[in-house]
Amino acid sequence: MDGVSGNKIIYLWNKKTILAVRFILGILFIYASIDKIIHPKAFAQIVYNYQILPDILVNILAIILPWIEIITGIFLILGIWIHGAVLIINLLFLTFIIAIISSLARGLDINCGCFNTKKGSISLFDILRDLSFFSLSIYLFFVTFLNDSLRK
Amino acid sequence: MKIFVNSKILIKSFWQSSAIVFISIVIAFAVNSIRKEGLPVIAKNNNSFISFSDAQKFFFEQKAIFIDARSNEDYQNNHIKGAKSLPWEEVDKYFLKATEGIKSDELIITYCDGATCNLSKELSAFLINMGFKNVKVLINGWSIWKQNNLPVE
Repeated sequence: MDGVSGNKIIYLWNKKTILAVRFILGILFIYASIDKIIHPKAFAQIVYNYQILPDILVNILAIILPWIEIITGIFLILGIWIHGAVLIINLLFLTFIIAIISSLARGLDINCGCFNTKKGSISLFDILRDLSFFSLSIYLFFVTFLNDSLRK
Repeated sequence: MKIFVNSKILIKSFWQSSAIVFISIVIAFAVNSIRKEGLPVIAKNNNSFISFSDAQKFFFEQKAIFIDARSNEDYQNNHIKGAKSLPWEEVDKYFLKATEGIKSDELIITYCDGATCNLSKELSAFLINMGFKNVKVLINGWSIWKQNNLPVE
């Protein structure tokens, strides 16, 4: 049994697996940011519709957030400041999921704005999709932070 | 086997994430300031109202774009001639279509029905936030437009 468990751990800690997850999440973040950067007004409108932030912060977030996503995505792929990038994607996924759940709970019929600024309504699917990506980012968090700690 | 996160790694991750956010902020504001369709950093929320006589004047001079903030159904029934539909309740759905081709400095007049109707005010504040610089609210617009037998369609 020990041997089997050991193999599983080695597989989970495998560099190729970690690299693959970094690429998946990195490309995801870059893809998610592009349409928001191209259409800032439409994205600001989506942020506004969530009715979470005060009006004064809506445009500021709409300007900054897509750039945080794209730069974090690039850094994740290139392996630059990997600890910081992993921390950011985990915090972002957590924020996105809370925002969507909160909007659904308030009965808002709004566009998710998760990957583009096009029409559509938030649904349970968006939560499930974000949760699946979040599980990947949690995995990356553990292998990045705990693996490093174990080596010290 | 003890599992713990090294404090040095935590500190490193915090300064790295702060640096990533800082770089993102610098690039974001730099790009926003040089692009044509950049957003105003501080969203304004001042409703500005227009008198009926001025709205009428701008209508006949074709110097204003009227936007109907009522529901799509109300708009389909009847609306100010030439007005675009942007129902506040479905602003997300119709925003891009309704504002297509409108320059940011053009005069926009929003209206809904009833003196206490807030749809046009909400829509006006929203459009200002979106970067349109000259947006006015015509209070009780639809009712007074009909009462004065002005062009509808």
